[in-house]
Amino acid sequence: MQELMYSAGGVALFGVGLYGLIVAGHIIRKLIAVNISGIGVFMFLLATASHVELTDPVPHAMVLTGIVVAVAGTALCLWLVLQIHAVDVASKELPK
Amino acid sequence: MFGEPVLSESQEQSNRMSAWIRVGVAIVVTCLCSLVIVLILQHDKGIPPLARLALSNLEFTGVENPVTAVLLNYRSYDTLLEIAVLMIVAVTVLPNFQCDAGAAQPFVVIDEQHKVDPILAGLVKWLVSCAVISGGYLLWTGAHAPGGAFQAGAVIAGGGVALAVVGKYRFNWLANGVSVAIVLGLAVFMGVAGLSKAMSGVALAFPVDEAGLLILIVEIAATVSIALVLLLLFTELND
Repeated sequence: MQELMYSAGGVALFGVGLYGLIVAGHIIRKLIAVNISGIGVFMFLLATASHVELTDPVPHAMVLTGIVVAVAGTALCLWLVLQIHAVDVASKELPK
Repeated sequence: MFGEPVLSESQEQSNRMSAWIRVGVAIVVTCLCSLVIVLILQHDKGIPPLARLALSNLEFTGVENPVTAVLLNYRSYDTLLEIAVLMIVAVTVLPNFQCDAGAAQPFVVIDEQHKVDPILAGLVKWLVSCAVISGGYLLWTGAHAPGGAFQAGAVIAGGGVALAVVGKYRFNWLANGVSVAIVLGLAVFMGVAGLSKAMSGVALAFPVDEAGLLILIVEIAATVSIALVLLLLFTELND
């Protein structure tokens, strides 16, 4: 029962993130929404890995590497946003 | 379908989606999620065959922790590629290599002018030492209990972040040898893949007797790289 609750929580988090990704306009908000979705997926994977007699190690390994790669992916996105912002500011300063 | 990405708050206000579209999106997303939850409820909760296989063959992997066995033995290709992803991110974010100005300076540059609260300075010394020691412990314990290169790398990077936010210390990513340390994880992993190819005929199929040692070598190198890449990402985005 408990892991069903966590699975449902993971799916709900994914839904919140998906809604945010579609509706939000600001690029940073979109990035946060993608992260929330990703965390929902991790939570879902971990919840489904639990069984009465044993714990499935395969989803655990996926989540473990997934977290570090998600952090790196977020950092790459943030860096790209900073570059886009710099170009945006520079193009507005140019005389028309 | 998606809201147009914008960079400023005012632009976001001006081309905001209408309330009806937002309600529609919310309804569709809720329906999708409910469908998934219904499917989970109907799903048979039997133990997947992969979990049984992973646990019953543990004695041939060289480690006792099933998660480490999946990461670095059964599915080491995945881990190799994930470390490669980290390298790609690091190469993108690294400062320009063309300028050689930083090469002569040490990795951690101490700004003597910067005044730091003595309590903060003392605390950070403790924090960093604790992070490095716990990182080492996590790395070592990964063979038989939860732990391993990814956790150890994250904890050591956390120590580095503590050092970076003090303000007195600055990381010089152009220092000699830092780029070598960043690619060390991927390089050692690929070297071990080649070695296992020579030993057993299949890349990354570790021979049973040497598996534990090979996994430890890969983990140590991967920890150094993961810690440095995470710290690099933090410091470069913070500037």
